Amino acid sequence: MSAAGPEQFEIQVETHDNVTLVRLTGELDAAESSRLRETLVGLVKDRVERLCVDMAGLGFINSAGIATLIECLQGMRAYQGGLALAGLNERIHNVFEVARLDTVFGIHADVDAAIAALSEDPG
Amino acid sequence: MSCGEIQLRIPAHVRCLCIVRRLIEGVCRVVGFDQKTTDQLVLANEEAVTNVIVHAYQGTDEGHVSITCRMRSDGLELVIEDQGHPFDGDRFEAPDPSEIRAGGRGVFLIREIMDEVEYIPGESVGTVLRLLKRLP
Repeated sequence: MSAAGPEQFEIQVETHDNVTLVRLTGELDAAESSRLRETLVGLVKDRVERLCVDMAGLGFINSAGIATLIECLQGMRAYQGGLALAGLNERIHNVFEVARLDTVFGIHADVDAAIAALSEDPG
Repeated sequence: MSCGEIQLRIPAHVRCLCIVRRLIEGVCRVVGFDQKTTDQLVLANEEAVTNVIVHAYQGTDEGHVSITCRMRSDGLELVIEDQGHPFDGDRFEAPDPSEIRAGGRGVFLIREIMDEVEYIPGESVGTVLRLLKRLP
C-alpha cells in the first residue's frame, strides 16, 4: 500500500524556541507505531529537555500509539525532561479519556500553549 | 436498518488495519451511531483485530482475520474470528488503567467501549470474539 492519502502517517521533527517539536499527521496504528517509537526513543536517548508532540493533524490513534507516548514520558521523567501533547482533536482526546490517561499527559490546545507550558515548567 | 451482515476477511497483517477502519466507519453510519460512538467502535474493533494479528498469529503475517458486522435494529454486533493461538479473554486481567505502563491497554479499551464482550474458543483452533454496542 504505497498510495498517499489523508490517512498516511507522517512524522516531522523540528526545533522551536528550545523545544523539540514532533509533528504527527495521518493515522497512527500498529503499522506505524514502530516508526514513532524509533523517533521518540532517539530523542530520549539524546536527552532532549523539552518535547512537544503536535497531534493537530492526527486522525487516529490506538493503544499502540499511546504506549509509545507513555514510554517516551517515562523515559523523559527519568531525567526531568518535559513532554507535552498539543492540538488533540475531539476524537483523539476521547481516546485518552477512555484510556484514563487524559490527566497523565500535559495536554494543550495548540503548540504555542504547549511551548509556553514547557518553558514555565520543563519537567 | 434492521438487519444485514457484511463480512470482511483480511490477511493477518497490520497494513490491512486501515481497510478495516473504513469498513467500521461505514457500517456505523448505516446503523445510525453518532460520530463519537463511531470513533470508539472503530477503536475497539481495531484493538481486537490488532490483538489477533500480534498475539494470535504472533506477527507472522500468516493466517487471516474475519470481521463480521451484523447490523441490528438495536445496535451493532462485531464478530472477529481467527485460527491462531487461542486467547481466553474472559480470564485475561487487563492492567489497572491508573498504572502508567506502556502496554496492555487494548483489552481494557474494548471492555470500556463495548456493551458486551464475549470470547468463544474456536471449533478446533483460534478464537471468536463477539462485541456488541447498543444504540442509545
